Amino acid sequence: MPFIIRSLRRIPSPRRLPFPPALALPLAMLAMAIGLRSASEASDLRLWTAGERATVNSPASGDLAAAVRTRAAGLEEALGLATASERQVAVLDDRFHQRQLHEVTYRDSRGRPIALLRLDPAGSLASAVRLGYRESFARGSLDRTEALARAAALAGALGIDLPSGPASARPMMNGALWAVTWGRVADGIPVVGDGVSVRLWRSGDLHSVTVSQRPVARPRVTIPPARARELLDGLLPDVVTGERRSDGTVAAPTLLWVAANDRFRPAGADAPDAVLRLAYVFEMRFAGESAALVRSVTFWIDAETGELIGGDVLR
Amino acid sequence: MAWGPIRWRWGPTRWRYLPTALAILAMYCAAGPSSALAGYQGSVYSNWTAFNPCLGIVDSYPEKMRKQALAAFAGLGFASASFTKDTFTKAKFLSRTPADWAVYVHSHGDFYNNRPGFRADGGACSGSVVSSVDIATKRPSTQQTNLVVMSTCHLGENVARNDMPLVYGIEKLKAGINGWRGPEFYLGYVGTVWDSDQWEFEAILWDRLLGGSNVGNAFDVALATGNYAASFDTDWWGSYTYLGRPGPYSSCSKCL
Repeated sequence: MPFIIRSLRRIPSPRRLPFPPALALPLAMLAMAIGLRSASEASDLRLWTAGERATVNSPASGDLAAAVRTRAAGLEEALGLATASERQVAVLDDRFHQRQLHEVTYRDSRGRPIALLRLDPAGSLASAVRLGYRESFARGSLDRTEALARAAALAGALGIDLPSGPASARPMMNGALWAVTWGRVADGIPVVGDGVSVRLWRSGDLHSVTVSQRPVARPRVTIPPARARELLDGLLPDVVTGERRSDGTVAAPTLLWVAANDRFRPAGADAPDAVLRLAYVFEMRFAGESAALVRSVTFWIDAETGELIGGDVLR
Repeated sequence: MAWGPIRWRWGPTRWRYLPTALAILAMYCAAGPSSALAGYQGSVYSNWTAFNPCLGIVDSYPEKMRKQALAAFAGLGFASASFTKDTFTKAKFLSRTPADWAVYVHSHGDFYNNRPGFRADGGACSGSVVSSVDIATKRPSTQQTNLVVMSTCHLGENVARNDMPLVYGIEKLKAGINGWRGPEFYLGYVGTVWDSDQWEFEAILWDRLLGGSNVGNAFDVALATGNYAASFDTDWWGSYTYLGRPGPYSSCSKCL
């Protein structure tokens, strides 16, 4: 509070503003219309709320652009981008994921975007996606074994450090795409949503590569699962209060790294946390009339503090 | 101060910037979404009641997804309105169906009597089912729609019984970068999908669309840059190069 008061005191009176109030309203409306934000607001990645743009894109400075181009050049052959006509480098403030990335947009000779490559500030590949669907992509015959082999070869060519353990390949987009995934495991525990994914069309053409290794906050101590269940049981009467609560059955928990969210706190943040926490994930499956509305709900109990740190819904 | 005509002068008065201000306002108004003024209706529906009072779970996501989709529809230029709780009834949905150019639904989706559908909210725990059969009674399958997003389970599945895209005049076909099926795009999810994954996918998709990407690029980037559960799956039909803006059929693949 004292800080706020000090800050307010520094605001000059309207008479001393550098431009007159007559300009303020139209300029503000114009700024809103074209999506401008003040530098401080744009840099505060945690301030994102639903309904706003999730990213803020700005051109990279000369030196940064040159460094990003050099790093990207080392990946382009494996991604089939060596012959692109144009490379445009930008700094991307990803406000949903609370991270900053360097983004290269590749264009063909007609100026059409053909790929997007994103590097983290250290120069590691975060994602690469080939743009421009062609009808022939879905008509190929790439099978699971070939998809696994090609994905591994591509990851190797890109110098990606693959998580240990086997990859899984599953069809997506109604069979048009193979998603080959090496799931990340940290301290022996699966990390939801992290790992390396290579997506290949049935034709064998590349759709995208994603490398995700978000930071984790390791707990100093971990409560046992029985204690987590006790805590959940204590919370449930407040969290699930409807008359149909008896339709739900809670299963044994799974220990997972999760991005905490404010699902059960409407006044909380709209985006999930950027730093992952270890949690006991309890799934409540619904039967009876409730199953016609929602399939299941998960409750995430922090493995260190025992707090409810979020959850998910299968509607 | 005496009343009289305002005398503009370039002296140090607080009004010297008024002409500039008016000019900026005029530019802003001129640059507004003219297509929204033309009245291409966009309808956003989100089922809140089923998850909040009925199950008793305080779930913030139905409201977030409603806000996000509404902002996206409006930003793209649709004359948009949103409906939830007791305003998202089956009757309200079907009353708007004939005039919809864009539709977003976040709810429980499934196949009912072998036809795709979803639960209306209605402010009641047993929300009525709105099926593709109901929608088909309100609009001929030849009537065009620009943008349909079924943020539910199952309604992106490419199975014969899923005629939800068809009742909105969108065939289950994809026109790629060198093709064009008109300004149309249908998005749905395959199988059962976690709400957080839908939320993240749609946040990226809407952001790319509002940034000027075409629907195909937006879909591809959303698929490639999110942190989804291993089971996440989605699909689309329509024109890859469509920009997501409202308007009737045009042979120009870069105009809408």
